[in-house]
Amino acid sequence: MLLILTALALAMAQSPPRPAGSPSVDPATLGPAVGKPIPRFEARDQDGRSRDFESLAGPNGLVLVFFRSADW
Amino acid sequence: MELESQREALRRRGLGLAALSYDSVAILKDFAARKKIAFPLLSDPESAVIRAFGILNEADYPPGQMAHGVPYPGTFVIDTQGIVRSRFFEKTYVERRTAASILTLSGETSPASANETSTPTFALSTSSSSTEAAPGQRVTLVLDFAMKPTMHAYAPGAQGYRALRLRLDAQPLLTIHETAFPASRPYHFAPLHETVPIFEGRFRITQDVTLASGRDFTELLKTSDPALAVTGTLEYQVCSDRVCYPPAALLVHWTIRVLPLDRERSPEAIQHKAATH
Repeated sequence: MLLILTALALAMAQSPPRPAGSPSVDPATLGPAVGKPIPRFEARDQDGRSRDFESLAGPNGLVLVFFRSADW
Repeated sequence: MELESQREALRRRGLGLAALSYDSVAILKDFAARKKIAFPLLSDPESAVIRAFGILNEADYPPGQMAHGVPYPGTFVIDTQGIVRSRFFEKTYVERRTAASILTLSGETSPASANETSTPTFALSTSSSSTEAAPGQRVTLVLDFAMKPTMHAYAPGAQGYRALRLRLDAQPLLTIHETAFPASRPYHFAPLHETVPIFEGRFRITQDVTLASGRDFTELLKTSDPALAVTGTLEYQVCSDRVCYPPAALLVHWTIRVLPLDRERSPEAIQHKAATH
């Protein structure tokens, strides 16, 4: 399964860039699926503190939102 | 930011909340101050986390563009073991599911205002994940049924009966998604030797709608109290174990207040710059 995904990712990386606004890949098929683990990560928050999954999660877990930009 | 208002609801459920973008710490600090955001905003300036999650959007934003490095916007709900429990991704940037909608679909609702209707065979409560939304946002409309004792409604796929169906009236400012039904139960009616899918007791159907993009709302947003009236018809047929009522329909409606889009940028000195060639 991992191999298939890797092959798919490589195929996608090599495809030519699309003009903006054209129908693109379905994001529902990207990233960790339901039931799969997320990768370990670390990033700084708005106060410059380093945060990882453990420091962000509550007793039942974490809602992690990926958004485009706070700038534009 | 709509998420801030949902933070308390998430906290009560024991869920932490964080939002990650490719912005610098400086941009996020400014944004958090302007928007009074208290939950962690994570800075991923090299898009390393975005890449690790496999959701870098290079198809729409190739290298060299200012926007190169942005993810496909979406949300993961992750348990304490780091396993994805649910996830919500949209096809276009502006189509963002509200946090309230995510909570509604996860089984947690705190409907701001529910409309109660009663018929001889069931009680219906209609509500929505949010009573207000910005252009491009996706809202979940909720219909909670409480069937009276011995009564059942026919589920999609029932032959010979009017199955439960929600028909929302089409309008240009709204994309209507598919209605989501719960699992039905096969019901065997001995006198007719038939088995049909039914709903009984308490059950919920949900219907997502997405507001059109900002441009389409320009005129509406100039009015004093911009709102969208979402109207539709609920078709159904109910029978008990001995009586069958004729097919019927009920008018349903929701009102969504429309919020202006946030177009404010961070101070120029810390803005993203397009890469120069």
